[in-house]
Amino acid sequence: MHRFIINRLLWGIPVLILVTIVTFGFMQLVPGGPFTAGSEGRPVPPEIQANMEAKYGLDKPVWQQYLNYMERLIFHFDFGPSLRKPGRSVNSILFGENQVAKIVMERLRRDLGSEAQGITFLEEPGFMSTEVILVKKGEIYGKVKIYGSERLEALRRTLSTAPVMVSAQVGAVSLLIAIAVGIPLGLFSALKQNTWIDYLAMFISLLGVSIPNFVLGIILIFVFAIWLGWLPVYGWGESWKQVIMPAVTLGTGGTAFIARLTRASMLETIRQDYIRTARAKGLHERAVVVRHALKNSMIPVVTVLGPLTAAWLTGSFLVEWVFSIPGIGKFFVTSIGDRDYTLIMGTILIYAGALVMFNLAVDITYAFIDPRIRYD
Amino acid sequence: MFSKKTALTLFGVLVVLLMIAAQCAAPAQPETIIQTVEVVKTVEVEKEVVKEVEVEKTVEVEKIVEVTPTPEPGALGAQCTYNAYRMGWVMDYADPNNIVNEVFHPDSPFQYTFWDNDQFRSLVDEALVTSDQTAREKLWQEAERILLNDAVAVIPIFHYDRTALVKTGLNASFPPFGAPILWKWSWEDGTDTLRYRIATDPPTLDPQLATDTTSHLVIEQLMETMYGYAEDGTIEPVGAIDYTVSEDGTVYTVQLDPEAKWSDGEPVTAQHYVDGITRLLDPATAAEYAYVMYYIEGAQEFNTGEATDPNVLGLKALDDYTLEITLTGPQAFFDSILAFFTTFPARLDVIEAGGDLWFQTNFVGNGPYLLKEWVHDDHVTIEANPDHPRGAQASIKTIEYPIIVEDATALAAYENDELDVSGYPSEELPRILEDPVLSQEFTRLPRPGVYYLGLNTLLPPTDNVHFRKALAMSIDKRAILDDVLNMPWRIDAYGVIPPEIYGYQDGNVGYGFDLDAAQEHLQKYMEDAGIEDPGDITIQLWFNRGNEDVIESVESQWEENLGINVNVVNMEWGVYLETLDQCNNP
Repeated sequence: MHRFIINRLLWGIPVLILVTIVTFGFMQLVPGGPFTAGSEGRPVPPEIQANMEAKYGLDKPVWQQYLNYMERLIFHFDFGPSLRKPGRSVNSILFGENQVAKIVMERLRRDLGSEAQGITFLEEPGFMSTEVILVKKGEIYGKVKIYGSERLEALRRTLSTAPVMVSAQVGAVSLLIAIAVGIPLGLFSALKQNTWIDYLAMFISLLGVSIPNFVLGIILIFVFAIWLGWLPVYGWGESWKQVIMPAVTLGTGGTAFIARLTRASMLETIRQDYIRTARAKGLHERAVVVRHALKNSMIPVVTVLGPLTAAWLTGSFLVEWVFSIPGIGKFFVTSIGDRDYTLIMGTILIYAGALVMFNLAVDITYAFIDPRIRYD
Repeated sequence: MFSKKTALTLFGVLVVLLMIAAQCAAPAQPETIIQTVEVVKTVEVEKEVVKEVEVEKTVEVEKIVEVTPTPEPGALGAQCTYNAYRMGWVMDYADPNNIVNEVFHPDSPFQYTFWDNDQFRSLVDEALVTSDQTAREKLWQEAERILLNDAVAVIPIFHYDRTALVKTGLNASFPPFGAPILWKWSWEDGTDTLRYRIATDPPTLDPQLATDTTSHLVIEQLMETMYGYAEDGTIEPVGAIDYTVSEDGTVYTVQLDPEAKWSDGEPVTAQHYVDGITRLLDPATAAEYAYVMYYIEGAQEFNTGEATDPNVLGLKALDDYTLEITLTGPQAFFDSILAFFTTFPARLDVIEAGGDLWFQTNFVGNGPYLLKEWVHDDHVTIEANPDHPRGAQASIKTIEYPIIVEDATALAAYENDELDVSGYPSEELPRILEDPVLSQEFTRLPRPGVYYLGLNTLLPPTDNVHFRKALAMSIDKRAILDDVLNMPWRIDAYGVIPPEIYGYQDGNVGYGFDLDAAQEHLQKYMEDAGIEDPGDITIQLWFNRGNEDVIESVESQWEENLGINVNVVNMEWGVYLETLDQCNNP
């Protein structure tokens, strides 16, 4: 088992490298570059484009750009600067800002008042820094200690507000809803096949599959935020109430899908010979379903859960768009329109990495639910 | 050893990538020119012209048609099969120079019509050296008339504007240029907070690099330059007290306000302005708007790397509070530039110490507000600076900009009283205009600019001026605004100079909707070209995604009113600009 996991993890590396090559190549093939269009819907004069390309090394041959990119990525875990958000790095766009620096700055503002204006760091503090040297007007201003509690606070903020984490939170709650509602719904339908319970459940899930996320989101806002006034219209991270509508919006389609899949799979399983054998042995119906049918009927469900989890945890464009959630989902779309090459690479790599990981998780799960599969 | 799952993963990723590529890829190649048959016939007429251009080309003579002498026929790339293309321009500063010259000059990189006219060139040159505004206005108007009435290189469709919902009780004002000046805003009931929705995270708050409206809505509260725009579009001193111009019009001397301070207490000096403009022009900064400052001596050379020493620039701090700017020649409109964001001062000490991140960790500005918090993709908060003369006067002390990308969500939040200034989805417009409260809060904001079609003057049949006139006269622009866009308040355009700017000619320039005249011109063209049935004429109309409404209306109007065939080609924005660019620079 360990060998299998290590083996698969190692295989993930060439897969990801291939992904970088293909993505990098495709980006170059698409007409229009990051600097073709200016920000106010106008073209950029050629001499200005040349300056911008030189600034970001895009004037070099493509293979050299690729090698430079990979060198930075592999040795420094640096996804490079964003091409369309000057001054921001893709790392900070995806993984959040330097919270330690932010917290120290907040403390300085509190303690020094307007005197704190213009103070910057000689070197940006990291998570492990215990002190940082301050600079003002080009001269050393002083040194401040960074307390353990502040580092903890920075860690807490990073885990809760970093865009990848925000997307993962929305995805995780949605996934919980999809599993917790979808699987029981499917099971009940299958066990009460062709009764009104079955028809009702399948009708609901048909609705769930058919309504686009976007429409559902707007309907929810209209009903629960404007009409009833129970939930806030948009936002993230201020109250648990903000979680409900996005998670339901994203989770509904998946719930319905999982319910239908579970039902079909369960129906197939309970017609198998070994179930008949179990019943013939005189086993209680409950035991037949829980001990014998359930596990086996979960195989197709687990198979789709892998890519689904990867997709949901890396953010949903529409849900983040509708509810103004500061995750990474919208960058999958906006970065391409912007031709923000480094941001495209960053988002695709995160998604590809998540796919590799969760497909591996699926394979490992097989070993537990399917007695025919063992990785020895 | 390459397991099935791995292969599947790989396959999945490839599919995703292919989909992305398909989304961005160019549309089906436009068909090749249909007009070749007619072309042969016109050669007889045009032989003289052709001979003048290039003698050795006579062998291929049937390929060259009615060539306007100046641009080389070879300048047109083989892929450039457009007869008309859609484009727009939103002006930066209050002088027709910013549109008549910078956009539509034959040498401008912003137009793709291949037009040229010597009289237009000399009128522009003259306007630039004419400091008397009335005289200059006449020159711009005449140049505009040549562009639109004689050459018919562009067909203006409408003048831009912006609309927003602004809560009752908020005294808001929107100058035609620059961001709204929020320290002048106030609530009737004295509330000191404001929630102003923005639709995207500001791409950057670096004053020299930001170019978009969203970033500037924030930056222009945190920063000030020498002048600013008042609500009526005139400039008023902000960081400066006064300026003088040398007799030959090439040297501007600006007296700065010695009381002006940065947010960390440092005085704002002339050197900071020199540093700011130099930083903008430095090729290493790679600022998009650097070209706006090419009017300064040495700027183009420095920005394009021909000169590496910043001392070549015509910028000098005569003393702490006197800035001298030397121009390449007399540029009568340069006072407008003193109010434009390309002249922001800069604190190099702060920028160098903070690296690229300086504007996020600790923004040092000279404006009335201070950056308090910027949580990406969530909100930006600014606070009035009590030590700043205008910050102290500000009635609204705290401004929050919630970042809400979806218009429908923003409208919901606005109606839920979570926002004070907001946008709305266009589908909701009829309801807003009927709603007793929302219709009162619906506000039209100035946005000087023009939405237009450019015509390819090299490619048949749009190389024929009669045909171009026929096209220009057969579009009912009012109908597009009233019935297609449902924007009855928007102004239909006949000239390119917008109504907010001096020189606006209303309907006295360009061509209005006149079907009889259009038919006459079409007949003249058909006689010239030896075409009997307008159904034999096919033109290509290129546009970028998001303009389907307007372009489809133009397409059907041309087809119905003229009886010609119009093929529309729709492209994604980046692809569109690159394709047009390649036509101009093959």
